[in-house]
Amino acid sequence: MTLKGALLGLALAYGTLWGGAQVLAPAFGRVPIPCTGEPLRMQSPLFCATLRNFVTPELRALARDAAATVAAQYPGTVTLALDGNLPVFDGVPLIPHLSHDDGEKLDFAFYYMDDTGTYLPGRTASPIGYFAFERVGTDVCGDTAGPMRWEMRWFEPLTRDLALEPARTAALVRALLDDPRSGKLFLEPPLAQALGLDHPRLRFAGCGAARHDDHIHLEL
Amino acid sequence: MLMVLLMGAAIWGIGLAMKAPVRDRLIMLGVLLAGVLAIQLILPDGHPLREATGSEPEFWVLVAGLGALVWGYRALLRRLRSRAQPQAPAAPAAPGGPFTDDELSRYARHIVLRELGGPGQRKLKDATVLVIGAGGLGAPVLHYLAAAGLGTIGVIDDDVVAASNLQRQVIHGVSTLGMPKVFSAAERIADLNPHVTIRPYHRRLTSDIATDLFAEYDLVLDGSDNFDTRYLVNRACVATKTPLVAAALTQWEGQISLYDPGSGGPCYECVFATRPAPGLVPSCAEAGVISPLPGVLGAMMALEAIKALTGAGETLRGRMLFYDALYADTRIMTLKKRPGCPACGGGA
Repeated sequence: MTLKGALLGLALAYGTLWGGAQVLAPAFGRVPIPCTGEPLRMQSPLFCATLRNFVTPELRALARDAAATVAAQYPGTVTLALDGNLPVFDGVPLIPHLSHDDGEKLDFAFYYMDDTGTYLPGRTASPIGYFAFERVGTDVCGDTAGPMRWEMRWFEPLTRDLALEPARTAALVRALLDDPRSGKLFLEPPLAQALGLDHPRLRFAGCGAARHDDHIHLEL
Repeated sequence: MLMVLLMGAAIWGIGLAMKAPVRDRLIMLGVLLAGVLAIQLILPDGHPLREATGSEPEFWVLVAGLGALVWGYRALLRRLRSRAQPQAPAAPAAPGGPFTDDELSRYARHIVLRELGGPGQRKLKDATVLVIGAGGLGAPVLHYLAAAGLGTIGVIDDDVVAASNLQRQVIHGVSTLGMPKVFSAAERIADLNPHVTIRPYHRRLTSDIATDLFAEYDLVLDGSDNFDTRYLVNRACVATKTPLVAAALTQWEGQISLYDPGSGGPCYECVFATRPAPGLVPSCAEAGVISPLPGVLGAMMALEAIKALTGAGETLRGRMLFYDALYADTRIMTLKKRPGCPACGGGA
């Protein structure tokens, strides 16, 4: 077997797996977040290619409605989703997340702007949507930080120097929390405070969990 | 190929019948797959054994690759879950174990007290208390209970430290501004007394968790700043038969009592049958509060807790103490159960 043949075989196998997952997902109560289009899409086609964009129909509807609310408030806004869940099997988390295991969790990227304060549609500070931490104020955990609270300092050179766009980001959080279908939303307390956000279902994930000042975590 | 699939099914079925662990069954399937791959790669084209196990190795390579992928995913997940487990404390508390030299030295002034002594200190070490709120009252309560050697202290609060808190909430500091109060308090307690196990709950106390949470504790101290929470705390304490030390204050005055209907005393709702109309009782933010007042009342709360847990002296069960700081005046009022109290029944 030649290398070309092996690669072709692997591509074919993965394509079959990927296509099969798309077909099987509805049977497991999962639907994909769209990979293209507006006002809601995945941050990168890579999420779709790696089957990380599946959620329950209720969560997709919630995400779509929230994205539409922000777009109505700020025309031209594109809301970018990050990790959802695998297309099949409850109880199998989407690594490295340990909670994304039932279709009821979805992460969103922040919105960003350039030096002039102009919103940049579809752009994120991190090429993968995660790990561009805002680090507002004092670290809430200090010495109590657990091993899953990754700081990812080595990743910083790979991020773009973009500033968080506060108005749209706060609007998205409000739209998500104002929806009675939403359960809770995780954001770091200092960032939430800086954005003027306060809601009983707006929570801190705790010092044993991942930082939430690089993305928004929503669950039903 | 069919023969291999049948052999795989047989291995799995026999393993299942023999109650062999899944891991062992998977290993056996792996051995079978390795054997088939070896046959496919070593034997020449047209060999009967190779024909019987599928004439091309690609399919089995893909099966092996898929299996490796699943195994790798599971291994990674196991590793992540293992990392996410709470780490064991460096110096684990040992309820029931002997006092260390450091503890004996630390609690020496307690141990010489006739009413407390070593047995009383042991009771404190074995006790679990829950503090509602890490604010004005919670700060001195947490400070003194930790210093006194309470074995396990839970604290629940959903707020973060703000500059306006530092005038009276002495457990927090400039370095913890913006930090959830429970974590700020936990840091301070860990620094003050590493023998204490602290359980911070960064969330609002709600009716859906209160009863389960209170059931884990021997005593609850309520330092909350609103009536909804006070009534909720009382109901959960009554339901779990947990004694409650509660205090409240505003401007220059405060009050404190121990509510323990399980031991014959009244509950909070026996005394405060109806909550004041909204806006009638101003909060500290609206009316102000003199800085040391929460310290006085909070220290009294810690003291009542210590007495209730050790049996020393006489607690404020069935009595309420009023403290008027502006005129340095104290009064005590006797409290009684209220017949028909919707929370505790009032002994009816």
